[in-house]
Amino acid sequence: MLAENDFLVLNSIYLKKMAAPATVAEVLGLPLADVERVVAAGIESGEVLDMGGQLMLDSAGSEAVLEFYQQTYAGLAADPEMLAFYQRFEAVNTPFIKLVSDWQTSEGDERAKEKICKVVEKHAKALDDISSRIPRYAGYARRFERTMAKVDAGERELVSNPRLDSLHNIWFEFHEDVLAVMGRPREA
Amino acid sequence: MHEALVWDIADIAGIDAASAGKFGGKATGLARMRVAGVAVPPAFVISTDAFHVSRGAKELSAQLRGEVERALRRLETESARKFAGDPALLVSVRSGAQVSMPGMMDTVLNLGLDAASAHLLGQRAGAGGAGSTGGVEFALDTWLRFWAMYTEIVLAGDGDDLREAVADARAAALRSGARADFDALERSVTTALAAQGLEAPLDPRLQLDQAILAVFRSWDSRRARAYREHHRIPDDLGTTVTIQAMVFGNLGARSGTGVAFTRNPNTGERVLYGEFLAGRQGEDLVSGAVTPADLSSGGGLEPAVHEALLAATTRLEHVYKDALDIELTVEDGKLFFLQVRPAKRTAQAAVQIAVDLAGEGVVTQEQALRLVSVEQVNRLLQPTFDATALATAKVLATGTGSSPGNAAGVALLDADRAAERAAGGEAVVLLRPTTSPLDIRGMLTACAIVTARGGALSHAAVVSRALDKPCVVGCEAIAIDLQARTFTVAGQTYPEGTALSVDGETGRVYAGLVPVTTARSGAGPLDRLLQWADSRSRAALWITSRSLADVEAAKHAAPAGHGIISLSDLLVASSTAQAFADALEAVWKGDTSLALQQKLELLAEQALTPLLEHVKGEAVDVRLPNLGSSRAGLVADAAAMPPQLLLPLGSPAFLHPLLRAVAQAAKRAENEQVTALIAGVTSAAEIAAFARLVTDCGGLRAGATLENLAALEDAASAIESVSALWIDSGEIIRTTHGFPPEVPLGDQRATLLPSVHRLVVDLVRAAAAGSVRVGVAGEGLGNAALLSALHEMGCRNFSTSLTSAQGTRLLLGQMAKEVRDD
Repeated sequence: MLAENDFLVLNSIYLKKMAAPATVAEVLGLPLADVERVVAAGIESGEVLDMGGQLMLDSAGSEAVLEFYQQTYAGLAADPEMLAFYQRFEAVNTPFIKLVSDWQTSEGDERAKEKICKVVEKHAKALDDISSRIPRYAGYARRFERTMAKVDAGERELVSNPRLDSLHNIWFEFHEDVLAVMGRPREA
Repeated sequence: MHEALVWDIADIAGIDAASAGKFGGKATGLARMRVAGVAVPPAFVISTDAFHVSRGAKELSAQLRGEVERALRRLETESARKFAGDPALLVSVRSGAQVSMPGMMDTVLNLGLDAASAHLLGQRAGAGGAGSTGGVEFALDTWLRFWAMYTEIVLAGDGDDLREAVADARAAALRSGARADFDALERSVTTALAAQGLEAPLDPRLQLDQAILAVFRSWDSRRARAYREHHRIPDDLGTTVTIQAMVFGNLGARSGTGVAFTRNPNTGERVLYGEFLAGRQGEDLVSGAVTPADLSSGGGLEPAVHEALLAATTRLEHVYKDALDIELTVEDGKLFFLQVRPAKRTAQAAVQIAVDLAGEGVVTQEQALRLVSVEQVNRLLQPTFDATALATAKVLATGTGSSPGNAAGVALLDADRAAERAAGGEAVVLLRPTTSPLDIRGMLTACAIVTARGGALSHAAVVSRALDKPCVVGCEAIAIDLQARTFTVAGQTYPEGTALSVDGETGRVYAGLVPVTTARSGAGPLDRLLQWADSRSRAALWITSRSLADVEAAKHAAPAGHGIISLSDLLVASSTAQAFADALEAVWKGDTSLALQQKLELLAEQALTPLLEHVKGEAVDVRLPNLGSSRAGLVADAAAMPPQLLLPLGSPAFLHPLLRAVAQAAKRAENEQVTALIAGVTSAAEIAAFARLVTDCGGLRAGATLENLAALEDAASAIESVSALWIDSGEIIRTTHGFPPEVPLGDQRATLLPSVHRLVVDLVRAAAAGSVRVGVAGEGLGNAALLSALHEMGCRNFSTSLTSAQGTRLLLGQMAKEVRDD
C-alpha cells in the first residue's frame, strides 16, 4: 500500500485528473521538492504519466489510490459519525450546486455569493469536526478558507472556474474523495 | 448631553451625506425610500457611535438599552402593535455598515415572540381568514423560523438540527393549538439548544439585545477582518444595526407579497413586470410552491393598490435614476415597500433601459452611459450563427440550453479523445451521456458541450457556465453508445467525428457545421448609446483593421482613423500570400536583386491599394513588416535568416521597396493622410533615420510603433522627426512583466508597471507641445482600469481591434465625465 505522503500526491492527481506538480504542492501545502520526488518515483513505477509538465495517473496509479482508500477507510463506511457526516454532505450538495448555478446565471450576484460562502463555511467547520476520523480532511477546510478569502477580496474567478482552486472545484474534488472513502468511487 | 445612539428612520431622512456613514447603507436606503414618498414599515437604527462604545462588550450599555427601549415603544405606537404582546409586533434585525462586507451578520426575522404571544398570534391569524388551523400553522412557522435563524446567526448553531429536534413538539402544538403545547414546544427548543451546547433567553427583549450584540461581534469575524484588511477599509468604521417592524402578506384577506420590476428585465420594455401572491409571504414566492399572478396584467392587486404601485415606480425611478427591483408586501390593503434596488437585467435590457431612461428625461445621456457595462456591450456582440445558414440547418435534437453561446465542431464521445483532437487544432464538441469531474480535460478544450441527460444544475451545465462555453444538457433524443463510438438520433446512427452545431441559448443541436459570424451592431439602441459616448469622449478612437472587410465593418463606428494596419496581415490575407512567403524566404537567404525588390513592391502595393481607395481620404497608419517579430516566423521559416535582417532598418532591399509601395498606393488612392510606421525600433536615432527614408520617398508621413522599454524611454527625442508614435500596450505589458505571448491579458494582468507609467506620462507631456500624435494601440484597451489609467496619464489616441472597439467607445464616453469632475 502507498505511504501517506505518496497517497496524498497521487490522490490529488487522481481527483484533478490532470495537474502540474506546482498545483499539487500548492493544494496540499507540501514543498514542491517533496511532490516532485513522489512524482518521479511514480513515473518510474508506471503509476504517473508526464504529459509535458501536466501529470496524469495511469491505470496502475488509479488502482494504487483506490487500494489505499479501501485499506485505510474500510471501517469508516459503517461508522455512525462518518455516515452522518457523509449524509449531511450529500444533503447539502445539491443546494450548493444550485447556489453556484444561481451565482453564475445572476452574473455574480453578491447575495448569491454570500449564500455560497455560508454553506462553505459550515462545511469547513464540519470538515474540521470529522478530521478526528480523517485527519487530512482538515486540509480541505484550510483550502476552502484560503479560497473564500480570495473570493471575498473580489476574485470572482475563484467561485467556480474549474481551472483554478475554486470553491466549486474543491467541492467537486472533495465529493470524489468522500465517495471513495465511503467505498463508492465513480471510477471503480 | 450625549449624542443619541438610536435614531428613528423618519429623523434621518434629511440627513446630510457626511453623516450618512453613521447610519449605514440599510438605514439610509430606507430613509431614501421615505423621501421618495413610498410607505416603508417603521424602523429605527442604532448608529456606529453605539458600536464604538459597545465593541467587545458582553452586554449593552444602560444608555443604549434605554434608547432601544424608547425606540421600540415608538415602533409599537406607529404600528399599533405590542412587542412580545398582542397584536404582536415582530421585528427584523439587520447589520448595516457603510460598505457592505462579507462575514457580517445576516438578517434575523420574526423576533418578538414567546410561547404566550405566539399562541395569541395563531388565534388572531386564524380569525383573520386563514382558518383556525391555518392560523396556528402560520404562528408556529413564524416562531420556529425565528428560532432557526437565531440559532444559526446569533448562536452559530445548526438551525436545521433544531427544527428536526423539535418536530414532534411542533406537531403536537399544531394538532391541539393549545397554549400548553406552545409552552412545551418552547421547552423543547431549550432542550434542543442545550444538546448543541447552546443557551438562549426566552424573553424577546433579551433576544433583541443578543441579536444587537451579535451584529457588533460580526464586525470582528474572521471573514470581515480579512476583507477590511484586503480592501484597506478602516477597522474603526464600525457597523450599525437596523431594526424594522415586520409586515405580513398572509395576515388577513387583503394581503399578499410580490416582487416588481419597473421594466422588463429581459427586454428592457417599459412595463411593470413581476409577480404577486395573494395571501402569502415572500418565502412562498421564492420556493415556487405556488404559482403567482403576473403583475403586468394587474397581478390580482386591488385597483387602488395597483395604481399606488405604478405611481411609486415612476417616482422611485426618478429618485434612484435607474430601473428598479422592488420587494413589496400588502398587509390588510396597505402597500409597503420592503426593499428597492437597481434591477438585474440582461445585456439587451441594459442598453434599452439606458436609452429609454435618457429619452424620458429620468437620467442624462451621461448617466445613461454608466448604466451599461463593457461586459454587457461585449455580450451583445458575441459571435452567433450565420442567420442564412441557420435557416436551412437541420435540428438534430433539442435539450435544455444551459450556457449561452454558439459554436460548431466535430462530436467526440470521450473526454480524453476530445482533448487530443482539440490539441490538434480541431474544433470539438464534447458529446457525453453526462459529465463528471473526470471529464474536465475534455470540457476545457471543447468549444461546446452536449449531454444526453441532466438538467440546468448538472455538472456539465455548471462547469460550462464557469468556462463561458455553449452547453446543451438533457438531449434525451440522443442515445450514445460509448463502446461502438456512435450516437443515434431518431433511428439514425452517426459515427464519432460527425459535425454538430450547438446553440446554448435555445438548446438546439444542429447537424453539420453552421458558420459563426461576429455580429455587427446595426441600427438600434446600442448604436445610439455609443454615439452619445462618442460625443462626450475626449479621445480619438482608431480601429485596427486586419482586412478590407474589417474596414467596411468599422465604418459605422466612425473611427478617427484606421490604424495600426499591418501590411503583413494584408499580404497574408491576400491571394498572393504564397508569393509573399516565397519573396520573404528569398530575402532571408540574402537575395537583394532588383527583380526581387520589384516583386515585393508590386505585391505590397496590390495588397494595400484597395484598402486605401476604400477609405477615401481618411487617415491610415500602416505598419511595415518587422522581420524580427515572432509573428514573421509564422509566415515562413526564419531559421536561416542573417542576423542584421532582424534589425528594423537592417535590410534596405526589403524596407525600401515596401516603403515605395505604400507611397505609390497612397498616391494612387489620392490619400495624403497615410503614415508609414516602423516597428521594433529601440532608439530615437532609428526612428529619425526611418523618418529621413520616408521624406526621401515623398507623399508619406513617418511614425513608429513602440514595443519595448528602450524605445519608449528614448522616443521623446524623436518627436520632432515623426508625426505619429503608437505605444503597443500588449507588447509593453508582456515584455515588462515577462508574461509569455500565449497568456491572455485578463483584468489581473493588464496593468502598467510604475516605471512604464512614468515613461508614458513623460512621452505624452513631451508630445503635447508639438504636432506629433502619441497613441496607445493593442491588447487590453477594453479593460476599464487600464484604459482609465492611460486616460488619466493624458493619452487621448487609442486604437483597438474591431471586436473590442464598441466596449472601448463606451468606456471613453464614461470617462469623459470623470475628467470634468476633477
